[in-house]
Amino acid sequence: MLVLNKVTKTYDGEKKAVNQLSLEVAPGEIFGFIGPNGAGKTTTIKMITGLLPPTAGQILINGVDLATSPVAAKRNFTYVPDHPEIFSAIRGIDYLHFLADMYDVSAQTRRVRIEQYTQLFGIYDFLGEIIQSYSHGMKQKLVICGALLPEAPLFILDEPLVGLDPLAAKHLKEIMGKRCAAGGTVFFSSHLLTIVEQICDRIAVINQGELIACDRPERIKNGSNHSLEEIFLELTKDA
Amino acid sequence: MRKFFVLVKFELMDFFSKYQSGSGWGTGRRGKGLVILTLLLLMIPFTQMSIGVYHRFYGLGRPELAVAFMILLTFLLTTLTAIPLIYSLFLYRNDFQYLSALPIPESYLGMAKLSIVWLYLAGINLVLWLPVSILTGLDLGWIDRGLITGFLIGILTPFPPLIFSTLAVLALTLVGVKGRRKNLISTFFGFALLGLVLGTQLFLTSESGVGLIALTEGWSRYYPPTAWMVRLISGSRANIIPLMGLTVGCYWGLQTGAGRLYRIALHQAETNSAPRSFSLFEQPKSKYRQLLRRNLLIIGKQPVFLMNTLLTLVVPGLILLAGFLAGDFTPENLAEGQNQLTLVWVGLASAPALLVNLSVTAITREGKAFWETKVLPVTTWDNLRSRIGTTILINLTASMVMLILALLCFPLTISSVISGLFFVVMLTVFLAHSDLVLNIYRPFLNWSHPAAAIKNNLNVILSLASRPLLTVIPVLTVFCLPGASLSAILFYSGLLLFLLTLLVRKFLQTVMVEKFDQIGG
Repeated sequence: MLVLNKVTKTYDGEKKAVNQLSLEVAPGEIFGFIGPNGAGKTTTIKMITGLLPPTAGQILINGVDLATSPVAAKRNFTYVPDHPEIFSAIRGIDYLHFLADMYDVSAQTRRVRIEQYTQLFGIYDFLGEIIQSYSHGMKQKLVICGALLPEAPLFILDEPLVGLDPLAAKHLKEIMGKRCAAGGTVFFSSHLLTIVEQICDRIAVINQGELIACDRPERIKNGSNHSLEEIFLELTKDA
Repeated sequence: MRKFFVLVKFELMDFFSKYQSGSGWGTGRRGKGLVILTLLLLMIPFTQMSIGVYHRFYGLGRPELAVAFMILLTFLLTTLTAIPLIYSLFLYRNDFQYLSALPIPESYLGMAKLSIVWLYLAGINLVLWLPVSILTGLDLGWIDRGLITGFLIGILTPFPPLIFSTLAVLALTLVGVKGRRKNLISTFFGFALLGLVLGTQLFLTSESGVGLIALTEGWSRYYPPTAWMVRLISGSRANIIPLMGLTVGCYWGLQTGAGRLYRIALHQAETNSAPRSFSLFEQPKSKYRQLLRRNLLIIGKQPVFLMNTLLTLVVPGLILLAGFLAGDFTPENLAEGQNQLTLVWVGLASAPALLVNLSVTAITREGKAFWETKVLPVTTWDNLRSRIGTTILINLTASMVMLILALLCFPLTISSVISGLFFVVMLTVFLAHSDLVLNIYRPFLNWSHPAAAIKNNLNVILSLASRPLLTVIPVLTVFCLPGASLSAILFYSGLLLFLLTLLVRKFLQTVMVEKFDQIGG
């Protein structure tokens, strides 16, 4: 579903934020992407979503090259950023209709899905309000609902659980699981290692722009009794 | 009473900190200095207007009417200023929820907010009033009396407009003008204020002396404080009594009004938390239409962007109005020739494209929400095209209004309209493209206040500074086609602009698309 082939991002021709990063995420996987602050997680996600072009390397989404066919590639994923900074002078419902039009979601389908997801996250009653009046958590929920709306094969989330209440976080984790069970793929970054360990099929650890581990959680732990947090700290101790 | 003054101080600090951050110059010492400097600079034209009024009436042999005229003018000015300010302080602040928890009477809370309005109006009054008052005092040989009376009147006269504005706001809220109509209110009263200032300037320069005196005397009869204040400044101290009586009456009325406004504000805060209805069903729209709508809404829903755009768009209309009132567009002048008329209307219709350089901030306006459209399944060119389309739509709408006004005002020929329109359309399309190139080179997305995005933006200045270069196009056409008619020059200049647009469009589609993709989200 997602292939990164020797992806590199260099700033000012010198500083390598991401260096020769290669990984593959298979359909049906929940893939955790972890690393310390400044490791290159957000830069990598920005490259995958087309927000930043890579300096070198190739990104394939559902077999489509993001560089050569960006529109076709972007139809295959939706994205939830770490900060819900969205155009907020419109109503929540207008934001969702805007996204539905962008991903060609039919009038009938969007009606069902908007109701389903916004009811689940408890923001249905506020869809008539201007987004500016939403709290941080409500904005985050709206962005998540917007990203769920097209039901694209790949769901990319950057720190999705920050700002969510425990119930919404539980719902999101359940949705991620259901998506993958139905053949979809979830790629997400997080600092909450217990959750990553709990729900991810595979994990990639990035440090100083380079991939230092990529495997199933139990294999990364290599049979030890240490928690993923301890292993992570050991792996990234030079950071 | 101590609590009341603490509350007023708190409200004052809150008001000016918002004003300062709203200016886009930051909240530091430099920002404060720039705000004070701006306010001082703003005083200059108002003081000049005040002195101008005095000299106009002195020239007519009726200097005392300068006082009457200024009283009427300040009444209208301060009323138009106070209404949106009261709306803003009472109905668009979220501070009532914590203010209502304080152990302070309701009327204190309302009066503390109205005190801010009074201070603001007193400031305007003093700037407008003192010059006339001092000059009248000098004329009568009572400089000290002129100064003291002027100061006294300056601080007392805001009371009638303040109670009038409070009643107006109460009446407007009763008929439903509240809730989400902040933009509408600020835009309407902003334009009314601008119209009043410009109208006064034009009225003073164009109206005949007899008409000006008759109008001032006539209007003064409808507002009795005018007569009291004119007599007071002329030496009749007894007139302070009705003025003081009116002030006490106004103060009492304001206390009642402030309590009522406070309850309306609280009620609105409660109703705001109730869910508003919406429709889950919406007919799908095309991607381009949605992007265009989004770009239009970014301007329309942000008061700073909206006011800046509308005020600039209205400039050509005001030039036309001023031309008429100043007598430049009299029947004698209109008869001077079709060429002159064509140049006037083409100039006015080109003004939106030349002055309202929306494309140069098309990316900047998005700020931190810029990432949204970049991750969507739309081509970069469609993304850019929708921004160009937004500029063309807004500017051409304004140009079409100017064309209609020109057709109503001037006897234009068909060839003048067609060639002129072609030139205006091509100029608008060209500038919508070329300005975007500048914004892609200098995107500037990390602004903290909308004013910083459009006012303190070097792109806007660079774009406006480059406008004189456009004169090369008609000059080149004249050079290539010596002896050609004005219609032909306009047509071929338009054609040249069309060819330049094709070049810039190609540049955008190739080089700039890649550059745009490099802009981080």
